[in-house]
Amino acid sequence: MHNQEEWLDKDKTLVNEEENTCINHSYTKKDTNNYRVGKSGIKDLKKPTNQKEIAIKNRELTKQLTLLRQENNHLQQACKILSENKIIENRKSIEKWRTICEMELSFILNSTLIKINRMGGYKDFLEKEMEAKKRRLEYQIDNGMEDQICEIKESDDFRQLSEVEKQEWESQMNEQLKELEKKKIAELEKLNKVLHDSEGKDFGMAELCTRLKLDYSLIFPQ
Amino acid sequence: MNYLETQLNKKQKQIQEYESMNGNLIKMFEQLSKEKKNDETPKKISSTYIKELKEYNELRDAGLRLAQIIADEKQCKIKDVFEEIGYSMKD
Repeated sequence: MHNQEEWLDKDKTLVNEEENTCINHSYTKKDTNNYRVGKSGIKDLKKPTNQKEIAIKNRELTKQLTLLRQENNHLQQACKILSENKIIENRKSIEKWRTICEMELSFILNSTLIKINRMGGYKDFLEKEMEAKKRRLEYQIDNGMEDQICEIKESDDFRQLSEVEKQEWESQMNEQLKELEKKKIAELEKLNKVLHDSEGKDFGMAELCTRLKLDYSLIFPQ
Repeated sequence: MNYLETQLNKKQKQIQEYESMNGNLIKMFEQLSKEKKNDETPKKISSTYIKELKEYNELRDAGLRLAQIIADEKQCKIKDVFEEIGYSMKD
């Protein structure tokens, strides 16, 4: 009896071994051959695919949720805007502030024109303005650089430099000065061009807006 | 049930909630659109409103800045400038 049991056990073990080899074979070779494996094998095989499927589904649901959330937000906003007549109210406020801006600009334009006339007209006013700008530019560029050079030359660090290093520094400074001179000439040319372009023109609302850094089309839409 | 599965269930529930909310909102929007005789989409309505709100803000800023310039020139308060124009500073 005992021997028979041993034989049966042996047989059972043999069958299990066969099943195990089959499982291993199918797992490594093909995941889709689920029908060929034993019950215990199914869990091991299905787990990775299920996890992957869940992850994909999760991503899809996240996308769907974001879209729904966006749509709901638009709907909520639109309902609020419509129910409270917000667009109409806002348009009234826009018109009110546009009229205020127009009135204020008219006042400023008038007072500016009076000042310009007192100065001898628009051309004279522009010339004086350009002269002032040129003087400011020349002062800024020339004095600024000269001050910087003097400051460095008087410093202890500069005195400690060797003659060769000093000469090298001075040649660098000369190059920078040349560059600045070029810049200055370009800026002055720009100013002259502005003066030339404005010949025959009058000071108007558009120029006033430009000078005040205001968007002309915002206040006077076409 | 692992973490991913819990998340999945949670999201499915959320989607159901959002879908029902969406249905209600669509009904409400359609009713309001009928009342206000509007034929724009919700997205278009909110984008138009935001654009116009920006325009209003820019105009208000410009108006206040110009009032300050006038007040400086006249040496008076901004409030006086608005009174002279005949408009209120408040909306």
